[in-house]
Amino acid sequence: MTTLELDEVTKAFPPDVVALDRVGLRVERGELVAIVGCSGSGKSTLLHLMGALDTPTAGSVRLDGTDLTALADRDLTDLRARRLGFVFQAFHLDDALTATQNVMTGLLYAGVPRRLRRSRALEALERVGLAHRARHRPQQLSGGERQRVAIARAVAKDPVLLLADEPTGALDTASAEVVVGQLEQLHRDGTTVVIITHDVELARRAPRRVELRDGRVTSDVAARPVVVG
Amino acid sequence: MRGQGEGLLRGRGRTRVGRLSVTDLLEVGTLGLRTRRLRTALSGLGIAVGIATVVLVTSIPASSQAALERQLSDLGADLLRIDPVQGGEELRTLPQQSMGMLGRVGPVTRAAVVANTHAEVRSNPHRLVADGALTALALDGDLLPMIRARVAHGEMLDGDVAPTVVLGSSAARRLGLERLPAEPVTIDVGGVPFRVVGVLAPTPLAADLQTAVLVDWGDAQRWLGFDGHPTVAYVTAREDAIEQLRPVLAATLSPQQPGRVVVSRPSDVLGAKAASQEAFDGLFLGLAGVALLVGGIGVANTLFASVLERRRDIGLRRALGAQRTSVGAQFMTEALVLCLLGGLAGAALGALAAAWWAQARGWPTVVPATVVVGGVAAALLTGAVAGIAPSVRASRLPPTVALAAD
Repeated sequence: MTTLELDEVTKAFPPDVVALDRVGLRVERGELVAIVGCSGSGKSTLLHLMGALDTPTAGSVRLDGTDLTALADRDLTDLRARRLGFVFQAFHLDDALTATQNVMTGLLYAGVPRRLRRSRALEALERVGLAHRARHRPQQLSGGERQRVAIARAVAKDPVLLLADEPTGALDTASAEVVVGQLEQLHRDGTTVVIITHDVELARRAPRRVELRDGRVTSDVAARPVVVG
Repeated sequence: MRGQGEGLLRGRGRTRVGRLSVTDLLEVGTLGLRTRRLRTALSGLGIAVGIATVVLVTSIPASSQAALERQLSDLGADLLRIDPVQGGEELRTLPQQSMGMLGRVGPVTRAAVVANTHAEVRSNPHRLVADGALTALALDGDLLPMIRARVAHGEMLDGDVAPTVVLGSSAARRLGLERLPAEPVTIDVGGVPFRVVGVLAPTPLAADLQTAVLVDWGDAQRWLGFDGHPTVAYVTAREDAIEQLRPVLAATLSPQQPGRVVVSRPSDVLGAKAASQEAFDGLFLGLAGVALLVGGIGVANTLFASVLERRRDIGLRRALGAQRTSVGAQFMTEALVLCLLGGLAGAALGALAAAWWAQARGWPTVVPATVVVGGVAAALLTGAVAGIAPSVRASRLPPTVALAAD
């Protein structure tokens, strides 16, 4: 079953920047895909399109069979709320909130009833091994721990697709190792994960690696047979 | 085309997600306020000052009015005054038997009459010109307690054989006799030396007495050639009967033409005078409005800064699935809560200041409830207006741009 399908996707920014040029890409359910490319290759634009944060100039993006290009902003928003999880390089945690509260924010807009949010947030923290940090605030956590809180926030609502944008970009090697291990664990548990990175080392560990250059897919290599969930 | 997504998005018949419940909205909307307390306090203060001013400038006159009303009801609400209509060339007077006639009316508890003797008043007999500002009034009946007059110095007329006089407060000042000297003093009234025995404290319920020298009715007839026709009559009566009494008194003194006498309530006149002073409140209310406007601009400014600062937070929330309306509502909630807190604090502050002011003057504290409710409502309205532009700006921020913000 196909989770994400990009067909002839072009994204142009006026007046004359073509960030993505007729990109085609399919991500099957349960895959872990690394999209690698240097800066300016169109990675971020691709993430925005896959994450329903933006719509393409031409071509189509289908998530779980739904054509995103046909949707209005509020429907795209609805889709993000229910089906997508994001992990960002800069974590984007609220310093005023505890780890649990930050994870609960991920459920706030997903239509999860108030009384269920806390227990589901604690579950998610447990999944990333941070149950003991539930009451800590971001400034009391290490970089790696912060990113794991962000991962917990993304997966608490069981998204059909987890999008990670340079998840290790702000971390030291040891922390990065833990975070990557975490994403791999989620993948083994059945979550579809797309990691966007310029870190070749990180990309090499992924079962499938898509290389992007100047807005085009230049290679798409499966290191091992794809595990279909 | 929209329909294609609806089934998926509305899954299991639930309403669209990304919209917040009131509780969630309050929690999210106050997050910025809770984490930036100093800024919240300062911009809330702007609103508070405006509302406090509104409450204060309306409560002070209300308290002063209440104090006056209490004072008037303490003194003189049971007092009626009867004047003949002064028409044309003819100067009218009341019947000679007025006091007896009035005393026989049921609810009347006391009656007294005053007459202008038209006698000239001089500080001493050697002066050629009389003091035109002073009148010599004859009193019959126990008027002074009725008008709550108090003798400031000396004593009241005591029906001495020798002619005696008591001075109204202004008259005493004019004659330089605010304090009576130890040795006897006389003034010249209608060419007769009258010994000054007392000086009255101010008599607001009968202001004409203040510029008068008061002589006994009998003395006036004996020494001043006075004809015995009163020019003003006063009665006191049970307060509940006062209104019904007015036409009765007019008919009693002027049965043929009740319209020839006017019955008034001196305390009402004082009350009206006090009420007319409220006109200048409009100016202060205008100033309060300006204060509120400035406060509102401050709130809008704070919110704009907040939107700018929290672009990444907005981007994150949009990525997490917050609808544009939810983001807008978040900032609108922030504006409303900020102004509500400011309004409540301002109302409390204004009420406390008014209470302090009233207490310092011995007035009862009156803080009109409508002003408090209206003031808080005005604060909320200010918040709503100030919140519009920042909320719209926040809601229109595209998530991709917001996420990329530094």
